[in-house]
Amino acid sequence: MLKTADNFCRTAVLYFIFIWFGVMVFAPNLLVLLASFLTKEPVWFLRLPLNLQAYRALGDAALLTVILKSVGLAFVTTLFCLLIGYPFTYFIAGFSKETRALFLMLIVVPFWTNSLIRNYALIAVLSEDGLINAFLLHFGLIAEPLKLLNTTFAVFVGMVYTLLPFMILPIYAVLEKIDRSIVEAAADLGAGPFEVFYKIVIPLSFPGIVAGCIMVFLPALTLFYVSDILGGADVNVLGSIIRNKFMIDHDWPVGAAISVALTAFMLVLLHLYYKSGNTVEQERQLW
Amino acid sequence: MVSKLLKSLYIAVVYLFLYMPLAVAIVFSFNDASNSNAWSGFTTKWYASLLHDQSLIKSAVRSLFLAASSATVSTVVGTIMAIALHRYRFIGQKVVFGSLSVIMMSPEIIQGISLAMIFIVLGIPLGFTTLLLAHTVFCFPFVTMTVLARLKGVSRTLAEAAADLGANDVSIVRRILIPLIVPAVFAGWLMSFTLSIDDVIISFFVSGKSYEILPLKIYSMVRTGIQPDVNALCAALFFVTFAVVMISYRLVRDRK
Amino acid sequence: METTPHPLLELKNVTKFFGSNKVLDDVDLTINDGEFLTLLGPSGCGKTTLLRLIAGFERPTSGKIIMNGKEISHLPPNRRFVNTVFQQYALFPHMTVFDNVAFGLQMKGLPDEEIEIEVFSALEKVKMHQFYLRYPSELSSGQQQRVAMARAFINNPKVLLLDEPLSALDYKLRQEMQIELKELQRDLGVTFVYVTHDQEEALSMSDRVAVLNEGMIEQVGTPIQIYEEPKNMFVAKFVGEINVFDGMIIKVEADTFDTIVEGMFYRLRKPSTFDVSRGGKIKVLLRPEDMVVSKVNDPEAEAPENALRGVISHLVYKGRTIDLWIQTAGGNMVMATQFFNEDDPEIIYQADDVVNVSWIKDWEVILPDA
Repeated sequence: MLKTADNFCRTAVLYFIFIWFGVMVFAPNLLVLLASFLTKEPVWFLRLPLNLQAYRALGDAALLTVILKSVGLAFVTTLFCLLIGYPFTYFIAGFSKETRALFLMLIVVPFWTNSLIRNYALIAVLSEDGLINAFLLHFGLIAEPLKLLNTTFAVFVGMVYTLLPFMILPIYAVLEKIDRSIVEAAADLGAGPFEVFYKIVIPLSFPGIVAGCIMVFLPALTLFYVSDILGGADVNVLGSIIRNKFMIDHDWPVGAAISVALTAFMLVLLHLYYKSGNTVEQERQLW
Repeated sequence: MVSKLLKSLYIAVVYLFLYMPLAVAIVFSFNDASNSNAWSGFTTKWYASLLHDQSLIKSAVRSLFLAASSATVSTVVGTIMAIALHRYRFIGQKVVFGSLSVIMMSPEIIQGISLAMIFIVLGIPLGFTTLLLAHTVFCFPFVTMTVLARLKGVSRTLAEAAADLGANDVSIVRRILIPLIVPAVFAGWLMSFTLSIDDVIISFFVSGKSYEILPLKIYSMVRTGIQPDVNALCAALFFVTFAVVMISYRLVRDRK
Repeated sequence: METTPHPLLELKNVTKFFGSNKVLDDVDLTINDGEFLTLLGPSGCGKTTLLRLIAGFERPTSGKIIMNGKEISHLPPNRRFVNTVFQQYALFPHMTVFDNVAFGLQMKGLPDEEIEIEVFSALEKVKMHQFYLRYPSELSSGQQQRVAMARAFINNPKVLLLDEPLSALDYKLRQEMQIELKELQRDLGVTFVYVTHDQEEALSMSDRVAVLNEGMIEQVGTPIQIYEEPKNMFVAKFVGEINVFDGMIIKVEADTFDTIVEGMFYRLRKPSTFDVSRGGKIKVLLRPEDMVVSKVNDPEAEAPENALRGVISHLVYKGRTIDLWIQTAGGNMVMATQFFNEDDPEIIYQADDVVNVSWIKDWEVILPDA
């Protein structure tokens, strides 16, 4: 009796999981994959025959230039988030438990505020009569206000501003777990502060660094509202291109093909991440 | 001494970077000038105009309702999945587990487009239903992961001990697993709520004209240019979020 | 003990694989009603797996587990009349002491009033009744241990399984709990199956001990049998300290045989467990406390009959006793435990003292040289 009730429970739950994943996770992505092989159609958006037209379109010089610019921007964003975020996280990880919790919450507060609003708030800082220009003019460092808004630079600032917490949090999660006695042991064995950092802390926090970089890099490619708000019409990220292909050009196959390429790229990154994470985990188990 | 000062200075600069735009927006939400960043006197008229903007309030209420519903559905789905992944061994388990982290990392634009496509194929009209489903899809992995982490912390022997004392599967789940994971479930709900209420990109693809939610309303507001009432909205949302964070922080601390 | 033992639980040809790893190899074991049986062995010997098979957390790959004549091998844990005290206690952290102990009875669907009476009577037996409102995290490990006991025995199991229940306690508390556990077992009259790697615990508490090694049972017997009459080298070496000498049989008589050990001639009693034949090789085993040591004042003098000459290499003071490590002329390191005799001033040993070592006649154990 009990046995059958338990089995029923198990079967019902597993069916639910398979249906949920099938319909809400796998089917949508397979549709995108399918769309990327179909042909553009003005009314129904898609039609047969299957072909590789959309993927060939990715090689188009104009499109490729925009994509590469977006990748470059994402790369620089990730680099700066790491350069700003890592020392910051390392410093706050050194404080007492209560202080750390407070510092972390202060990171989370703007992170929980509507991201559109936060980027909008940057306009008042970057615009020609904004805070930075006012500051520079006031101290006579410049004669004319700089054009900061509606440039790639503004999008870069917006991206770093939006994504910095995504770099800080995973690194913090790893740094916090590092056993203090390991650091002390290294110091005890004669390592100086720099060597401790370089030979112990960095390698142990590597999975956090990789996770942070992935969590910054992918959104930096795709957060089209940041470039909409701060970059104006001139700056497009990969996300804006995909959106435009679907919503404006109604070229679903090319939009889908870019999405598929992005997904494939993400899967490669995740694969690398789990490989890096696992090696460190295994080494930990060996101890 | 010097290095400590430098560290503190560095931390302060990063926080300045994170908070300055918000501070500027809050200050200018009280600025009397309607189309400039120059200060021209204190006013609260922008807040008054927010309160009188019926469509804005309507979309805010919708957003709250959507966030609460999708957080609740995500919590139910995510928790069931976490318990199943923890307790059962089944074919495709690794695929399911791997998909969870892929969904969490997946760029929102790809989720938005692919979900919009499945809704079109299934013939579900874009509106509240599609928003609810889509928000649940991108929120539930966070619940599953949070709950799963908690379950892993609860040693397997507790379930064995309960079985040893005569509990069947249903009683084990009801008497042991659920009470132990309640804090994680609560945290998962809160996370889903904030993810849902902040989402722009996925909602952009799966919401119809008939059901405008706050982030999309804000999106159209900020795209039309500088309006001081956006500053007021920014400040208001900031204070609400800040209050929510503070209260939940207190709640979590009091529980301990 | 006067009544003939009645078998309660029988394990027949039980084999267990984890993947391709054989953890239990054709185990046969009978557990009698009301006895305190200990499964003793080094870590990884399969003793915990054996316990988990009886509890129902694992199923045997082959073989049968029989309780009161009925096979229970494939029943789930909640349908066996068996309860477990877990190594780390596995108390439910979100429940009070009362709720933890009441859990099993609640699962049986007993009325609340009855549960309350039973729980307090169980808590009283382990002297924890005044803590019934505490949470496990508010208890010391010794107190948690008692609650875990009460939570298990309140269900009136036919067999109570205990998986190293004292290993988390410090030395002093462990000693006290050993006595309490034994008393509780007599009091309840329940069969205990107790898993430990601590031979001292096994010897002091059990009615019978089963020594396991690499998934096989090496010997089952009373603590005295296990200690005094080990059946093989593994049991001899695992339980307590032991000195091992090689012997060569030179002559066999009716009740005795003659052998050469370390170049000395000995006439020993024939072992009952195997046949000795001329030219055969044997092991002569002796516990340190069975060794007799005497100081040699004149090193030039011949060693007396049946004694080995040696030099004290080092000594360890143990309070009531002293352990001597003696390097014999034959190259063996012999350990001898001597009690202090305060009336005997001669018994003050120092390193490098020359001594004669012999043993109390007939206390040796003879095993064939494998």
